Amino acid sequence: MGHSIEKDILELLTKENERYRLERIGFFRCVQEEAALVASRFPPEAGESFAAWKSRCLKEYYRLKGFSLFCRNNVDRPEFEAMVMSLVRTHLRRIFESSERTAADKYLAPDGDTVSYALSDKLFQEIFTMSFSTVPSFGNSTELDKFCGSMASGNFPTPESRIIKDMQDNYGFYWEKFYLKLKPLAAAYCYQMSGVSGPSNTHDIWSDTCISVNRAVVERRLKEPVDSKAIISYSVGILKNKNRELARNKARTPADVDTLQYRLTAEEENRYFDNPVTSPENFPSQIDSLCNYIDYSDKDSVQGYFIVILYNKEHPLHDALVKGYEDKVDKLFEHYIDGLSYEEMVARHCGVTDSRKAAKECARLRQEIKRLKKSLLDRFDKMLEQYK
Amino acid sequence: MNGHIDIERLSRYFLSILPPEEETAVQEHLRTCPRCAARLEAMRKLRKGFEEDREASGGKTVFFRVIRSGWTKAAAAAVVAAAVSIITLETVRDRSSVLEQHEIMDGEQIENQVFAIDTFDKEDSTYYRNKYGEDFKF
Repeated sequence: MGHSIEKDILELLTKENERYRLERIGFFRCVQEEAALVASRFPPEAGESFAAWKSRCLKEYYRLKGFSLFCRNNVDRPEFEAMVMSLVRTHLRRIFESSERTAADKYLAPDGDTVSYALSDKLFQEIFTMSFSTVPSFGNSTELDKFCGSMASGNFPTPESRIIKDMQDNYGFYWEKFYLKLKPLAAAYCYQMSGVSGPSNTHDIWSDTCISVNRAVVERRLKEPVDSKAIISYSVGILKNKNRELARNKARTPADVDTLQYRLTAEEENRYFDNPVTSPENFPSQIDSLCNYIDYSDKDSVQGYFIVILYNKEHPLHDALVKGYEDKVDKLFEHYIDGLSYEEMVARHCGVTDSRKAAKECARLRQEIKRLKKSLLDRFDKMLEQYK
Repeated sequence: MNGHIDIERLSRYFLSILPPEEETAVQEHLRTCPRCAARLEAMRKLRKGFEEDREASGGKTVFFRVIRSGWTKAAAAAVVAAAVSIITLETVRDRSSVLEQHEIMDGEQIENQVFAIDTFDKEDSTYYRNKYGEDFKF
């Protein structure tokens, strides 16, 4: 192949480790050590394609290391469970993206998000217990991944009746998504019916609506059979009533109220997002770019996205993340990516030759980078609050 | 794969959310493209840099969390307060006994000296005995 086998193997195993968290679940201690072992044992054969070699090499490696037995012995460990959960989530996201939007998603989930293919902790525990009760045998990570794929495809989309039942039981997981769904709707109705706009002006109507709908559903006040359309219809009804009341208070003559109410037609309902007030950009939770891939319960997932946004200058959120810290971020990159020591950076930027002064500058730079890391992470946390 | 991997695809690879076939294609490209490999490596190095802090703070957790916790501070404050009050009480008691024993009439004037006695070691007793007489007791 003309390439360094050690390097190729190292990349393969690094990716395996990142995807299946092998170090964390205790399958191996150090990826470099493993790569050295594999490189000597499974070199590519003459004429073998990269894909074929990769497949053979990993299969042999996992067989040699006893992956099957390892899984059987570790299935009860929380680290193993978390790894399976992350794999199932990735599969679900793929299935969601390639499937038609379900009625439950259409009426209950924010645009770009899903309730039908969403994996709550409760749902995962049920599926995990069911699927791993008789510990299946996995010869390698690909088989484990396929099993997780079948867990996702076999149990999803979650039936609408189940989602409604969980909402009636006041299960926060679905309600939080639904509240986000209501946000732009509330803004649209407020703007069209009573001329009110801006998050601070519409927030009360939105939160009141959320509370009213929640109570009605949880207290089983909606007419049976309750489905996702019934819930959204009830919510829209409340939004209309609240806005009528608002419009009535503002109107000088009864005709003003009629005009305001008449404006809201079915056609216009389809155009909620066609005006600047209700455009999706104003509602980060509706944008299908970042929020939907982050698994907020998983630190790795959150930190991974943080790194992607920080490193990728073209990312839509990069500027917001580093605003005001641009120069310092360059220094951070020099230290961590280019591998420059603090001493080298001081020599490069400050040209200090006096050793005492240089030591002082190094200490200052170290503190600066430490503080920057904290500030960036804090800012990222605040940014994520908008997406949750 | 021609040219370079676009940053979005590389980010997806970094995040391990690419389907297996695409992942293999990216890996094949990375073997021959130092530029893409360097970009991926940069993201990994950056992540490691941030993880080091997480691990470092994680290593200290138990001890520092205990030290930094509100309850510890409250307990420490209580211990300090108790110690101060005991010392103060002892000081007051000792001072009055000193005054009583030696019938020092002008107590207020020598107050500072008596306080000094409390803080000094008993080995300094010779000095005070010389000053206040042989019967002086600590």
